Amino acid sequence: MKSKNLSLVVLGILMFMSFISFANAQGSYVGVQNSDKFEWALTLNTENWDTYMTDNLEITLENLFHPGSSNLTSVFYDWSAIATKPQSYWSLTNLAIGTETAGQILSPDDNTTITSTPIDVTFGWIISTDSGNWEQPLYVVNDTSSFLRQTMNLSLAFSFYTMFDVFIVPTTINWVSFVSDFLGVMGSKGGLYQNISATAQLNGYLLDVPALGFENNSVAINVNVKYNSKGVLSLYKFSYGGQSLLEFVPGTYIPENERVPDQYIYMFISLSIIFAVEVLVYIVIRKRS
Amino acid sequence: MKLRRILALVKVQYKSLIRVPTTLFIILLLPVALVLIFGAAFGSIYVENYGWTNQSGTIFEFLVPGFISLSGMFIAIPVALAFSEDREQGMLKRINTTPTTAAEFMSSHILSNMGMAIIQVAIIFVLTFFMRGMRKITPIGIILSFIFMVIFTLSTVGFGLITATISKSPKAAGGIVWIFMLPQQMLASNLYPLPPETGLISMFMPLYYASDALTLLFNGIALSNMRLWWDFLILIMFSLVLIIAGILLFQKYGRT
Repeated sequence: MKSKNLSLVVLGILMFMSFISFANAQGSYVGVQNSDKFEWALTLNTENWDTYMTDNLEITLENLFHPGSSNLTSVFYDWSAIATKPQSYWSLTNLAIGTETAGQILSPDDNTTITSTPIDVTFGWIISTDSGNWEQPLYVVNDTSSFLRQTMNLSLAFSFYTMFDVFIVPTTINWVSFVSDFLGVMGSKGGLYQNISATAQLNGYLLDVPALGFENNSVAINVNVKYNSKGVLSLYKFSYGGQSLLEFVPGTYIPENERVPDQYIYMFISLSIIFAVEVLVYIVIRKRS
Repeated sequence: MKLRRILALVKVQYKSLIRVPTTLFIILLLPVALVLIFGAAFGSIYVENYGWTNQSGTIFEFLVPGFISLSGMFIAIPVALAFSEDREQGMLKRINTTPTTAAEFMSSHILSNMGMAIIQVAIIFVLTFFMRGMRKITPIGIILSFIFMVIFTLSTVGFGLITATISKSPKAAGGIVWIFMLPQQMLASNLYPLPPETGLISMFMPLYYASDALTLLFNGIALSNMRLWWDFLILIMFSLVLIIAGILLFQKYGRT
């Protein structure tokens, strides 16, 4: 009888276990989940790019931060042909969070051993006439100093495309200490790097370079980067002379044939008012006759 | 209002329409000719990411919603002509001496023209089906197309009444009606892509909402698409505003 009861208990546990899913061991600094999906809109303010282009700033930025083909000018040429803003929408899906490991994730640029949690993701972009996607591993590092290494001492912040490597960051970053460490590195590097000033924000950082701080920037450079509570990029804004060149903010793509133009609402309100006036006129005429 | 009287007047209007082949041609045969000619010319030319909907298909498929809504617009011509002729021939004065009320008379015109719109749409649908111009539209989309066109007809009757009010003779009405029709035909029929600035102007025209809705339906969009229902709402408002304006103006200034 006892063995029968035991068998039933074991069978019950086995049946119950089929409903249990085992999650990977995930570092406490990783804020995202496998089921998460994130969407953004990229707005390129093409009308503000003249000074940036005439200053030929890209050459200086290449010498200082080596963005290569991922530089800001590439972003301009990729999207400036689209007249409507935002020019494109982006998504981060199919997150597959791996197990925390220690390794040289920044090799060959930096051979330091860093502890991180790998996340395989699918990045996608969409415009009204086309779309595309690619898969990429992201590494969420486990502490503030490793994150500064991962951003190549914030070299990645001087272009939008280079930010793709740090779309997901640890939720445990101490931004004040991060900025302090960054300024320390810049101070030790000397030269034009010393002209970068940085400010910690509640969930990100601000970078400022005064006019001529990089020699050929005739106006000031401002970079604003913020992450949400899950550690996912929520704002990337590059301004030149106080004018925004590009902004990357959360936003969802709605196909053109589902978008209700704002004018529809104004039209409806106007027609409703005219209709009400007509009804009043009709009532007055009826009463008079 | 007595339905029998209204139906008798509807019968009269259909008879008078048949007796004027020019008007009948514009209302029924012109849309047919458009479908046949453009179907033969553009039925096999395939384009990708065409127009504001960014859909792929034959050019003919993109033109069909415009043809349907445009043919509804043509109804303004017989309305303007009929009312100004009735006035010129003293028909309106004679009707005043009968038990028929002004509301019954107006209703008969609205009903007869709605019926005409249904016939027009049905003819175009049949022809378009055989010319492979409606591959994406769903059965519910077809029903909705009829409903949209019936509502749109109300606004064209309104335009017809306004035309009859400001025209001194049927001949003048035949010309003046184009003041209302031509800009809509050029800017709001959705027959070709327009720049956004022009698109803004077209939003002041009821034809825009009919064409927009039909284009969506011909693209086989889901009924949950809010743009379709906004088109519906604004088209209803436009039709109410125009038909009431037409009736008020015609009763005040157009009957003598």
